[in-house]
Amino acid sequence: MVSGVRQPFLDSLAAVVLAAGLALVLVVAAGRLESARVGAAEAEARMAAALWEQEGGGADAVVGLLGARATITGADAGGAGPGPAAYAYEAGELDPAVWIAVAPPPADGPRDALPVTAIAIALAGLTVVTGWVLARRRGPTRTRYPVSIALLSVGCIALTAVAAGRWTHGELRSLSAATAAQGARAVQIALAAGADPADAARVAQLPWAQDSSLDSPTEQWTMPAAVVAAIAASSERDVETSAGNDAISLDAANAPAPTAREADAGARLIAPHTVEAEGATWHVARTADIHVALLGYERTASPALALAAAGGLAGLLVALGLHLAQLASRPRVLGRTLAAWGLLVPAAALIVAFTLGPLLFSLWISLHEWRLIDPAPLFLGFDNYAALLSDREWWSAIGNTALFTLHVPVAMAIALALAILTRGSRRALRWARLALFLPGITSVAAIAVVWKWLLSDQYGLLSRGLEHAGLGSVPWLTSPDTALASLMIIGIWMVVGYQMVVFQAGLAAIPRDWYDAARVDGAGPWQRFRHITVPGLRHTLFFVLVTSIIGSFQVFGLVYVMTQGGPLGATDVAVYHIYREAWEFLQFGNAAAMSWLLFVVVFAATWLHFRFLDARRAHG
Amino acid sequence: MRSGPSQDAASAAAMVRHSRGKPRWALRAAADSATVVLATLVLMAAACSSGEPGTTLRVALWAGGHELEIERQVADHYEALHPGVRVVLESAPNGYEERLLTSIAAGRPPDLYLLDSPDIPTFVERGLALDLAPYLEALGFRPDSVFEQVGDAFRRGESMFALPKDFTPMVLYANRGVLAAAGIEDLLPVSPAPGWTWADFRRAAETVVADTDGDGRTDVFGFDFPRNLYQWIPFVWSAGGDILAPGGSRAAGHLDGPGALQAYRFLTGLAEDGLTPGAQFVQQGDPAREARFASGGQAFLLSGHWTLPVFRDLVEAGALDLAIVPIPHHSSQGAATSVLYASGWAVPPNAPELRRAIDLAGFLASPEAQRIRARSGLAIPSRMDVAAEIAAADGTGVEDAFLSLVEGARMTWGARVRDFSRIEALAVEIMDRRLVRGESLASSAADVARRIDAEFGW
Repeated sequence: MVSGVRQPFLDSLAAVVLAAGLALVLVVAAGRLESARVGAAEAEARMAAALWEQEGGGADAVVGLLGARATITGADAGGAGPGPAAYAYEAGELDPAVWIAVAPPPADGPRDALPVTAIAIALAGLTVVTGWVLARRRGPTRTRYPVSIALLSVGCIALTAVAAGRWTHGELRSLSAATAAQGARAVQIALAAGADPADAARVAQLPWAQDSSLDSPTEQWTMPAAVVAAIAASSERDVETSAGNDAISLDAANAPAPTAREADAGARLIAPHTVEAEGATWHVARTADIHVALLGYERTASPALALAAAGGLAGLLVALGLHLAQLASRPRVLGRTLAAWGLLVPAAALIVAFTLGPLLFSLWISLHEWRLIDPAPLFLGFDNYAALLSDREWWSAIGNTALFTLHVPVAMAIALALAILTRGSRRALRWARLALFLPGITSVAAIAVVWKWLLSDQYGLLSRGLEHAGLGSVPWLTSPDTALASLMIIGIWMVVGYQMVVFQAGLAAIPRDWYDAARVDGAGPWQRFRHITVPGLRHTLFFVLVTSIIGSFQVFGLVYVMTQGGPLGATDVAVYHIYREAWEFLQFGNAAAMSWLLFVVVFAATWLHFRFLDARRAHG
Repeated sequence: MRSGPSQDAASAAAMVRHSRGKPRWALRAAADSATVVLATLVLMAAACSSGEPGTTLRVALWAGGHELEIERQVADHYEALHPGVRVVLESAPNGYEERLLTSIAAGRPPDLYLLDSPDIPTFVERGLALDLAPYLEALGFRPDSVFEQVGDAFRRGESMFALPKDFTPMVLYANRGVLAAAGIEDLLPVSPAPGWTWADFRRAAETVVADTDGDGRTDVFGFDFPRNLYQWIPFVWSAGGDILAPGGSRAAGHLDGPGALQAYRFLTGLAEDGLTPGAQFVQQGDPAREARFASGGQAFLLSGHWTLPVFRDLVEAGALDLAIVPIPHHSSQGAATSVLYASGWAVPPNAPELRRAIDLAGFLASPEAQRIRARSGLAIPSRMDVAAEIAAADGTGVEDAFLSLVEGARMTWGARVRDFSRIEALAVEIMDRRLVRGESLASSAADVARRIDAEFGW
């Protein structure tokens, strides 16, 4: 039965949820842009401070760059001002002289200041859903929050997110061009004040390059060589337009026209243009022979991820609203559901923050090229995955991991034998169990170091022992033929104690009567093992098999300490390969893609085991 | 057994007590929880507000043990000169780069960090090191006061992206006792003589190899196999070759060029002829090499200045007669060209306390700090005057020998070529494939060079 109090509330939920979702998307888009504008103002504050410090600089130069947007006060007044700020110093001094605060650049116009299309889509969707809510209240029948309205809401949110993203992208491009132009303008002012070109170029506080060295990109160190090469190849390099300043719209209202001194210096501004390098757009402005470049905010402050997250969250809100509305006819269930969700929130928050979040982040990273210190990841789509398909070293690592996994059944057989042999409460057996269990609880690093010395060709106890016994020398870790096998032996030694304990717990659960009955029926030890112990341990065996295989796919410590993947990649296992890719070569996108492929492999292996078990169960 | 009526009554009463007690218990629990939460908040607030007044500068470095103690002394000195400034040394002897990169990516960079020469291109190109050139005068830092190659490593045009801390060339440590026992002590080149050739070196190594206990195994070796690129690159240079084209933009024709191949042949020849113990295919190389050298089981050891403190006690106790000699060169060359590795103090442009950090960088690179730091003996001070002082005060002549080998040495390619670690990782294959599979050095070098060019898009 529908509660008269709850139904109107739940009816309105559709509109409320949609409004909340749309607001979230729009706020995220506006927030990203605002944050980029503040970033641009910070860059300008740094330029202004550098300009102030320049010989012939000072307050006039700062006003020349920023007009009324700059506020210059004594250093003691640090913190006061309209926006981001920077200290300026007397040349070469370390104590600040003045504090320059910069108001963020104004938006270009009333229309451009709003994501009109996105707002229109949002309003349209909201109107439709609100109309449905009102019609429902007046209508003769009361249907529940239908799926069609939920889908309409999700679609509206998605379209709004796309439109808001496009608007933000366009705004960020304009902002990037304007900031690059401001950098060139700061250089222009410094040159006009008589600064040496290299000193003047530094004032931009952005990557820069001079014409004279564009043809030797490796000598350009303030920007990646690929950007220098792109600028050199750009047709804009040799183009000068007297209308260059027209493109500098960032501060058109406030900045004064170039002074006569600037004009005399002959350092005209060239309209900012873009070059593509390292998969990203760089905005390049030029004055005299100095090119100032800025990696576009549309990449460094890209709203794509934030909007996708906001859109996803809004979609979840809609789904939750739909779910709750569908429970409206069952108030008790609804109450219990709400209480359950309330209780789940703390644990769910932890899982989202520390498990699901990183998991999704790694998925997102796997679609990008990212070196951790890059200003922003470069979207590659599925290129990382495609490249892995033909990466021989990666598949060799997967092959080595699969080979290493073969130690699991051997370890299980030994562990089961030990579990049977060491059952009992005698003191010697208790000590034996303890000794066997110890490797399982000892640090992998300590184990690896000890084994490394034991297996050393030159000084190893094992090698020397074998030689003294006349069995010859074995290159345990220094031959590709034996290194992985050596690690497998150590792996068996490490896990056998733990597996033994699990098997003993399983054995204890098999009723003693079954063995007594079998004995009375004349069954021998092998028959009792074959027909009672093994079937009785079926679930335990399966548990140990699955967890051990997953564990062996994740082997890392032994390889890291003992062989580092060598010799010649013979022990390069998947997780060690991923580690190197991420932390040695800083290819986090590749490493994340590898991690997901490894997950697929482990998941498939586990699923196959389950299927196999189910099939056996189905066949009795 | 079923319970009687009196038992039922008792249990019912207990249930009533229990149910009545529940709200009180819940209230108590809620009150207790609130108290705990409140206390935690108070403690957190106290922890946040209990910081000393003034500025805290976080310095990232990789020093450990005694070296860290000495860096602490340097930091204490700075704190004494700047009341109100606290210097926190965030040291990570293992996994330094991972920690530094993570802190930068997380938007919480240290105020100052130690920049290793192979990391220079990555950090400078990505704008993670501030150009310190405008502050050199205020810091009292004269670029011509440091060794030229070391200063150049951190300089790009007029810009200076780190203030050099210290450096080391790769040299050969010689155990004179082993050579004397073999009767060939006079084979050693006398510093600062131009050096010695590969043939001289090989002859010395062959002469010292011995099975002293007659068990059929070699007990004294000439050398240990230098598997990694950072170790063997001086041999390539000393044969007139290189691993990359000038400018660092191509490997083919260089990594597999005639000079490089001669070096590979010479080094693998030492291993194949039993003049070195078996190769260890890990980055750290043979873990026993230093102990073997010090105990008379090896005549020559290729290493940097960082190994010197390991041997100092033995030298002072007279248990080790040590000589520092140049790396041998191919007979076609007049002298060897060793490789240099340096580190410097860099400031991230977004350091929380930028100007203080610059000031601290200046102090850490100052003669005063370098004199304190020289007590660790791990590297050569970057300032020529301090290095000369240290050498003059050293009665063993070892420091002088190190200094004499600096002049002809080159900075590592890693200081110029981004992602050099990738090249290092691939290049180890060249000699590994020879030693493990017996492959031709020329074909494996050509294959590795081709892969490097493909990977770097050269």
